[in-house]
Amino acid sequence: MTTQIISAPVEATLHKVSVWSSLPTFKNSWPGLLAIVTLSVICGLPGVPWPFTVYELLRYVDQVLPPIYGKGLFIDLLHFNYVVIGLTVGLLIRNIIGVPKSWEPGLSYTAVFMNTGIIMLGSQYMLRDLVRLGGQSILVMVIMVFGCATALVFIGKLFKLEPRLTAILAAAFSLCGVSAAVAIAPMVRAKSEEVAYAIAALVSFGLVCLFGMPVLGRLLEIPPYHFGILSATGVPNSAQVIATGFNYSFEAGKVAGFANIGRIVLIPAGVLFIYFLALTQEFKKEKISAWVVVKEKFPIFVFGFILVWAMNCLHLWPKPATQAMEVMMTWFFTLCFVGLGMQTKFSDMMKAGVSGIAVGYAAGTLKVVAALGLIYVFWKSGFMK
Amino acid sequence: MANSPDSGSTGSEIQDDLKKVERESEAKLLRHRADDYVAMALGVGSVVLLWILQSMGLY
Repeated sequence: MTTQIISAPVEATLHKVSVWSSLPTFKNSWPGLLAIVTLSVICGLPGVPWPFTVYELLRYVDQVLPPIYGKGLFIDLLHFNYVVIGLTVGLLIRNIIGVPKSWEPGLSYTAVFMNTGIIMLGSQYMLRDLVRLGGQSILVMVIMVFGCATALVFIGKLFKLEPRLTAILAAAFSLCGVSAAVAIAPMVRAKSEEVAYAIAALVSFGLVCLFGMPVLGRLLEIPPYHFGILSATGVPNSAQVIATGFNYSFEAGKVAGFANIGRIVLIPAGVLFIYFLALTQEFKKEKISAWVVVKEKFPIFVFGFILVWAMNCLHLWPKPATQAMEVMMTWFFTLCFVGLGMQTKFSDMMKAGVSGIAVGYAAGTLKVVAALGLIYVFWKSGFMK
Repeated sequence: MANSPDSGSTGSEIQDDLKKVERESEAKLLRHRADDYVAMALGVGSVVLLWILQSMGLY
């Protein structure tokens, strides 16, 4: 008798998809990965003694062109650094020349580079940094995440937006961008077009923040530490948070990367919070297990950051190695910025439509202004030095 | 804008779309998890490599 009776749990296990099956193979990914690495080197990887870079070219152009108020146009006035150059080159290639289909699997590794950079960021902090920075950034994050989510759900109800769309927009703008929008979508039974609208609106707003917020920061003379916290609270998408920080200054980028950890750790709690806040009769049909939500949506790479940070606190390596780790961290972030540029399609952003963009930008601007106000109060009151 | 996405859609179309969103969300979460593992291997691996190089006196 060869027929076997498979019980329900066994059947479920048999159908369980392996985590690794979701990754594109190296054979499919290498063209995209090679494109990211090559473009990063061409744009100018920090610490790599390669003279023929876009950065060096712009520096040369600045020397040739007559100075404006005694300053070079690209490097001094427009602040073209490796972040802006990598992103701009990536954006131009994607939206003007176009990206071959064979590059797409490799480009999807952009999030891996970002997470790796964040893990290596652990080597830059000691226990005292974490106590000081951790307390302040966690407090700001908790206030901003839950405060912003409450405000957005309230505004959505006030303007009689679809509860599903309100929940997705609240998750996308108050939590962690695309990840949060995708995480909450099935819980609130969202339509695919609603998810697409929310993602388009937040990516578009994040891009404006990425280039606009450093200009605002320089105008208001915000210190790098405060700007890093502002990036992590104001910009909706993780990769854009870090790019905005590094676009302002190296120190601001490090703080933004660190503070962003606080936000991504809050994803499961925030998703549940918005779910219950935006709860309507329709949502009540879905049975949600809080533990499953926390288990499935917790970003486990944070443990990598904690491990590297703990090793640093134990003084396992001297300063030269820490400096080398800093350079490697910058490389991973640069790869992420170039990949981010090459993944951003302007045509996708248009999917949100005029009203979608308006709602998204209103939500995003509200959050940036609130974050700026909160940080200003903390700064001036001496709580945040 | 998707304020009334149900309008003009039949019940089965809506169910199909909901299933599609669920599938895409599951796939994305799975990919996020895989990305986390790869990032941990790369990040911790790079740090450990530098540590080994340093202890060998090569750094």
